Amino acid sequence: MLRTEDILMTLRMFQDENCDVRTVTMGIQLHDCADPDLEACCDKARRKIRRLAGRLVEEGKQVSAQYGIPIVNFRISITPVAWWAAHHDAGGLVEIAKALDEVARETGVDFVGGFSAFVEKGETRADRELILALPEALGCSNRVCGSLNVASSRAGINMDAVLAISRSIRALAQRTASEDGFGCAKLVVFANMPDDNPFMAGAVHGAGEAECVINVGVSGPGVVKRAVERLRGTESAFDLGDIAEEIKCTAYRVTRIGELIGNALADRLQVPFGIVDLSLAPTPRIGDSVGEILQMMGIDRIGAAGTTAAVALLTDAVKKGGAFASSSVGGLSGAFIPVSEDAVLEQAAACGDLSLEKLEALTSICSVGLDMAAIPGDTSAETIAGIIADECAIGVMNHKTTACRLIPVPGKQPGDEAEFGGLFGTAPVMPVREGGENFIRFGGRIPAPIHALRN
Amino acid sequence: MSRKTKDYIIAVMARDRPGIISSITRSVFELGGNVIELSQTVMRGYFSLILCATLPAGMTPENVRKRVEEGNPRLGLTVSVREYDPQPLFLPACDSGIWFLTLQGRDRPGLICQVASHLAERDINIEDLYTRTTGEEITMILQLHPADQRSAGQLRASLEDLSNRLAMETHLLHQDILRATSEVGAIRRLVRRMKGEK
Repeated sequence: MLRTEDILMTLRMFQDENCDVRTVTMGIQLHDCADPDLEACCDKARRKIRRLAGRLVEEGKQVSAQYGIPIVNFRISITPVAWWAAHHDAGGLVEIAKALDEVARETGVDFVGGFSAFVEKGETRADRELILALPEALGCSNRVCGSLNVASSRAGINMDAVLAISRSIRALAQRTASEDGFGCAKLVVFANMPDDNPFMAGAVHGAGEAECVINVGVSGPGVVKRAVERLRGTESAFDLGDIAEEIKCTAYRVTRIGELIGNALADRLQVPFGIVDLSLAPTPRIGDSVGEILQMMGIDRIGAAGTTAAVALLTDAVKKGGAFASSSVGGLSGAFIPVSEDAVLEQAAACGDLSLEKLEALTSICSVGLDMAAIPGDTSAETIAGIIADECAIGVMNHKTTACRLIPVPGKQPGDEAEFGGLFGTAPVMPVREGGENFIRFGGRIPAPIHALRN
Repeated sequence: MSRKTKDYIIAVMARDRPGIISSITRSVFELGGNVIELSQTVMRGYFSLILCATLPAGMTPENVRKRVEEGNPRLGLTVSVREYDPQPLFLPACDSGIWFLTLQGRDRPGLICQVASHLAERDINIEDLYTRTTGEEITMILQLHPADQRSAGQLRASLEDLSNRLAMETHLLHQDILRATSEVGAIRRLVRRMKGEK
């Protein structure tokens, strides 16, 4: 028999600590769905997704029952729409979004990601049409998510695209004004966007990927928090090195579960297993919060001095444990700090402890710094572009992924609250600093950093 | 095992002290035998052991028992010996998997019997059982092998009923989950092994 303590520890992860497989995302290549005829293009995409993902949820539930492990979400990521729907204008792309929405509902997945484009060095006509289509495409659909890569360490930052997407973000917020601009929760702007991210809203099935793969996103803020709590409950002395070790061991266990479930499901579906994303992804539920981990590590007020160092320790320990657990680590694999989706972060933002600037600082050591951050609805496109550009600069200069999921909440000002419902939670509207608009209006491209010249 | 040898199962119980295993295995050695498998545990100061030994043919179980028990009088051993029968009485279908059932709640008389009966009725074999009592609370961990897929399905389906009936928190974990979280072996090997079992 296995060691009793190992059995009880694994049991606690599921019983008391909200451990689960957060998402199983099937990546599907859609290049072969390109067609100048809009109806044919939609039909090809629908048929291919139906054929490959038709059994995803059913088989996934069987694997979940077989192992006794909850799988919270089933999702699909597709080849960026701008790559295979380049024949069509913005109106046509909206029809494609509707077709994707329809097939997502049919297959039983909650989101399909990939209404996307990569424009870090320049835009094609199709990319520009997609940026224009985004407000209506994401506004009229329920399950379609979009993303745009506007910067990379190899190419620099495409400031024209940053401003264009900022205008689309404002338009999307207006299009979904009755839901506090919730449409923007389905749109992420990236620097160094990964090709295999399974987490929404930024999931795509990028270049170099196989025809169809299974990617898995594990999660376990609750498990990590309890591990640190248990360490604090011991009588022996410990220091931050011990906390890092404890988190590392916990991340190992969590990642192994994701790897097992992903491999088992891929095997059933006869498709390759892609990657496991180690990111700590919180939900508004108590006991499932990255903020709670930081509190357990001694950061009583999230945003206080020391917060960035604590997140650095956390993210690094999670990566080390995960890297040993799996040889297929990919996606974002960093801590998420989505303001509205994490009850403790939301409270910290509401009382002013956590500002946009502090979140931006955290971006330098986690994967998505400005995530589900609500800002005033009347924030100008130039100011939004400035916030995005700052995030991108951190990513580009540090050779890492950074991203923004900003929600300008129509009609609301700092101090108000935006309500997104369910696992998207609520978010206080955070103040923004204006005054850099003229820099943005210059447009053009911020060149790649000198250390991009690696060859 | 050749024609000149025979395998025996030897079970021993005694109050625990140093030197028990040394004495038992010396007796087996002096009988011309070899220990091929052994499992031993100590609970509340009592020693328990089961071993399989290959011994020269022609020896009766009673000869072996006497030699082990009476050859070590100061240890106060209670020994039981049987000839090994390689034909298993329970042969589970290999695709039914091994599961770990945990139960946590208030201890009371008859609890283990109720759980064991629930499993026996569904043709589920208990391969290992561990219980720990702290105050009035008991934790039970059972390693289970259902007879086949149907039996495994019944186990999963009846879990809530068992939990309600006993007013205990129950949880069922597949062996592979525990191996994944507790061992360092490659996950792909686990999945391939399971696939091979189907």
